[in-house]
Amino acid sequence: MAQVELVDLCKSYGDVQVVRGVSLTVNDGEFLVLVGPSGCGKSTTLRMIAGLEDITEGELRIDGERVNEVSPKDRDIGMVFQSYALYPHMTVFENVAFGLTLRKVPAQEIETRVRVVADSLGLGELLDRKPGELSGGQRQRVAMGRAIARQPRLFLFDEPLSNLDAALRVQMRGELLALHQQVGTTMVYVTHDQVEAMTLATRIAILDGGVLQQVGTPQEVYQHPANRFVAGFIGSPAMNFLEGRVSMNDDGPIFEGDGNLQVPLGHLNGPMPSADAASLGIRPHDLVPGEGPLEGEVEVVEALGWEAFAHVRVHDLLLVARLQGDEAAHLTRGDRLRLRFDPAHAQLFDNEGRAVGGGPVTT
Amino acid sequence: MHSPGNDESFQATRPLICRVSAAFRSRLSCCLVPIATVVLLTQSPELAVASDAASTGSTDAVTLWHSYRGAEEDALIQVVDDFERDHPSHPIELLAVPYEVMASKLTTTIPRGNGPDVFIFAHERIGGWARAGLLASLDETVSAGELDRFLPATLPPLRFEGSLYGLPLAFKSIALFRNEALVPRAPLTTDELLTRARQLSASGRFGLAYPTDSFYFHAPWFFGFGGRLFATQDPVDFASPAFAASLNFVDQLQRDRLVPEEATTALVAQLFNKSQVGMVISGPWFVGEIDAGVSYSVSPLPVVSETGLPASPLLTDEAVFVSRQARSPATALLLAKHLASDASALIRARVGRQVVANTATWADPQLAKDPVLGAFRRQLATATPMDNRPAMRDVWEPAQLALKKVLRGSTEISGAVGAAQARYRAITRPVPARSQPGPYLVFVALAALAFCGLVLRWLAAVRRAGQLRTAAQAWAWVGPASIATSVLVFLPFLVGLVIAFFAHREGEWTFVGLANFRDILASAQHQLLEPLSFYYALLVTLAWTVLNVALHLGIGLALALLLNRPSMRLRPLYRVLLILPWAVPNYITALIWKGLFHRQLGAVNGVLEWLGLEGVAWFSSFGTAFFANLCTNVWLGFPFMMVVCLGALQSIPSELYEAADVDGASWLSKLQHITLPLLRPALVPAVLLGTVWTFNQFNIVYLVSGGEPDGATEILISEAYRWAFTRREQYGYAAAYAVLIFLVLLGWSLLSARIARRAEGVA
Repeated sequence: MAQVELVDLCKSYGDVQVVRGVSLTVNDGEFLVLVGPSGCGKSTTLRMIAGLEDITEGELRIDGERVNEVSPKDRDIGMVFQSYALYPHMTVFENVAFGLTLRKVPAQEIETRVRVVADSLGLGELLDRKPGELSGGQRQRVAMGRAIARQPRLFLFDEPLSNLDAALRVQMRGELLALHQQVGTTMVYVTHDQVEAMTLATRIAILDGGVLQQVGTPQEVYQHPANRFVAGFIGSPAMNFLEGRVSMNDDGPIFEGDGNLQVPLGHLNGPMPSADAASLGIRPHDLVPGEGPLEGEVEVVEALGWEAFAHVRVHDLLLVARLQGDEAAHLTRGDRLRLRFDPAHAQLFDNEGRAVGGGPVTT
Repeated sequence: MHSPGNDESFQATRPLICRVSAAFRSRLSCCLVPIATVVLLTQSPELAVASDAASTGSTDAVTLWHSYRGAEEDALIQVVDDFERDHPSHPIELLAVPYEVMASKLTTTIPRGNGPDVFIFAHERIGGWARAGLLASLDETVSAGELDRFLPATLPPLRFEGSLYGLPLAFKSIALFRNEALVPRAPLTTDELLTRARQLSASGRFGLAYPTDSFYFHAPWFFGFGGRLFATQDPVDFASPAFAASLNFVDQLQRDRLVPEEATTALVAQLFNKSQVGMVISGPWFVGEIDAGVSYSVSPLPVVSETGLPASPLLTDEAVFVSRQARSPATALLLAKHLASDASALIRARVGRQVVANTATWADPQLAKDPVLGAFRRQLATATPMDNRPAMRDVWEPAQLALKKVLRGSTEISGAVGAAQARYRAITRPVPARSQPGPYLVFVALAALAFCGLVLRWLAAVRRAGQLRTAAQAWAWVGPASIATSVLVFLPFLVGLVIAFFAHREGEWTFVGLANFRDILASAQHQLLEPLSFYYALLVTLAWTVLNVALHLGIGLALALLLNRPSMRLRPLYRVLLILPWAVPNYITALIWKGLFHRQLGAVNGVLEWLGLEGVAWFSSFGTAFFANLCTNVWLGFPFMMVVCLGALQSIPSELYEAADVDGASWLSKLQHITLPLLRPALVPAVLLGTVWTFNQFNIVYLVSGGEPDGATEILISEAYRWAFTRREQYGYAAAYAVLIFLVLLGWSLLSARIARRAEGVA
């Protein structure tokens, strides 16, 4: 059990800054997911927590104690690597037992602990095999078993599911959640897959360009994205953005876009952006066929059965709209489609991409 | 020809570069196949290097072989040109053959009709060649009048059992060189020489320098103390008082620090040019090594004061010989006589600076005044001709063994004499009794039958499977490679195997069955655990191999681990520097290390002395000599292991180390639990390969310690080489050695294949 505090954590390689002042607290027992696109610094942040990368600037505390200079082996952490990093010359048993052996745990106890972990992960039959003889999913479990067996105070996961096929990934997600509930240990999990992040996390931390964009529960970051990056990154398909500007009339602020588009923003409170450019974000789920202000030509229809997504060219923009399964059935490329949305569900961003009105949710 | 012809004096007097080429050649002998190849190449008419293809164009052409270089070669070419001008219908095919391979080429090519018609060589092999019928006798074809033209002393060496076999061209012996500034007057007696030498020694110089451990240079003392060749049945009576007295004399020279220890020809030249030595004993070839600024004179060696006898150097005639197989004997003789003529002699003396054998030439005013040639001419009066009987060639190894033992101070003189006698008996082992080939032939026939049976059975199996056509195609594909392998590997291997059942002396092969193996394995002529015993050499070889491979691996791995750290700066530079030892040809490295370990000039002793320690005579005891060999080969061998380790290290994913970091592993436990187990699959084959290379690492042993002291550091392969090439071409015995080496390595490779398979299982 551990609380992890990142205080203005920075990492540079020469002149290249990879992580820029990330401050974040991972609460005891929390499942925190670090998410972001490739190169956003999430893995580097995780590796700094593990002690595999030196911290250039800032401070890292585990349970209130500064650990910047503490070597990985003394941080009492368990880590699961993207490639699993299983010792190829050792059997499953030896892999799982390795950390215990090094810590001079009595052989009898090692045996017991490895058996318990192996059984809980369904590896009981595989203990004598070598990693080369296992499937991807099995290796993944061994890697988890190796981390669990030591019973560390903190688990770190570096994209552990990215090498698995889709079905297995869903299954393992479930098992990870179950594991977290079972052991209750603090976990920090890195992924670039926002679905994984949404499904697993107690809280999500979104990183971009080495900068922490927002931290919050999955619901918070989905419903109240702090900025246009978070809004676009979280949620699938990604949010639609309309470009325009905000003006004021008698009823309050109005968003004016291309083609005489006018969206009343009366539901928003707080200071409005000036007459500069602004953008309006609408989730595809909120953009549906109907009598609305947007009309365009269908380019692609992605049918998912019970619903479908249509990519519609409106002016210069390609918008994604949600359709009922039967609505999509007779829709083909080139058809014209009129779309509507509830302005109350739209999110306004100022010219620097900051969310306006709803206000960002922060920790 | 720069030096008199015998294997050992050649070793002692030729510049180092010749040793390099000798070693390069000798690399051929690194296992059975190459030994057999050497024999095959030199013994088979089709493959003989000196094919007569070039001379088949004209029936009147005459082939002339020689080993002259530089000015001597220029003179010869001029003389041959003169001949061709006078006899336009007899073109001469001139072929320069390296001195060190000339004798064995002649021995093997002439009987098969593809040797030279005429050749120039030192006289000392006449006995063996005359007996083997290689040489045309000149008794009938050269008149007494023609012989009168030569200095009388130059003729006896060319006679064997009453017949004349060659015409003398020049003669060579050693004499006394002195630095005129340090030794103004030539010493006439050894007492005078010693007195002057002591004075020089007192002033921090050496009185005298020459390769003291070479019997060729020692011979003058031996004769001066009253010794004679073939006074008894043996060529040198090691038990004679003269031999002991001569040993005592050099021992005293060295004890009194009048001569430098372990002097090589290079050291002698260096000391002389730096005026650090007053006198040098050397031959005409030394003139070219003296710097222009040094003022020197040459004079005959002094009289030994104790006996009143002159210190008599060995005399070598360089003569022209006519092959018994000459295609046109008359033309060949004509050429030989032309080469030995007074007119030619003058050219050879003037251009080639030869000490010629023609009396008339010395009347030439320019030549008569030549102080250097004149001194060698005077030395002729007291020189002792090298005996031309084959047995003479067995003198060098035992005599030098005794010399080295005494100079090293490892035994009393009596002990050294005893060792020489024992070594002489060992290397002149009697040819084993002729054996009946019958049982062997039956065995061979049965083996051949069994082989044919296997082939037929295999063919039948293929036919049953209906794959005859496929098999034929497959054979067509592997055909070229199989033929090449058969010709280059299997055939020589078989020949080598067959040779091991024969004894070879003086071109004569005797079938002796398993006698060679019996003699080797029973260690008949030697103590079990003394040099020259197979078991001793095997033990040395095993120690050599194990220590080398362990150090190669240890150092290579340690360096690879260092170099593999990503944090290290200038990594590529270090990597290149560390691989360099590997990139230098290993015989060059070996010679450099031999120099480093030199008693007087070596850098190793230099460092020791700088540290206030005493210099070590590295090649005087087994331990230090073995250590010197080991250092050299470790230097040569670690880069390979380092490269293998580096490659394998780089293939270990860094995440494994990170996982281990997280798991709580220290540096040592990562090495133990991750690095080493994961290197194993790459290291096992490298170690197995390294073992075989080291086991047969001939070059280092041959070039660095040369087996010193007394053959104690020889490994099996270099021992085999000695038997084949320096102990009167006992090819059969050497081939038997090679077969035994092959069997040892075969056993090892079978074992190692199993080890390798297990290692693969681990990976």
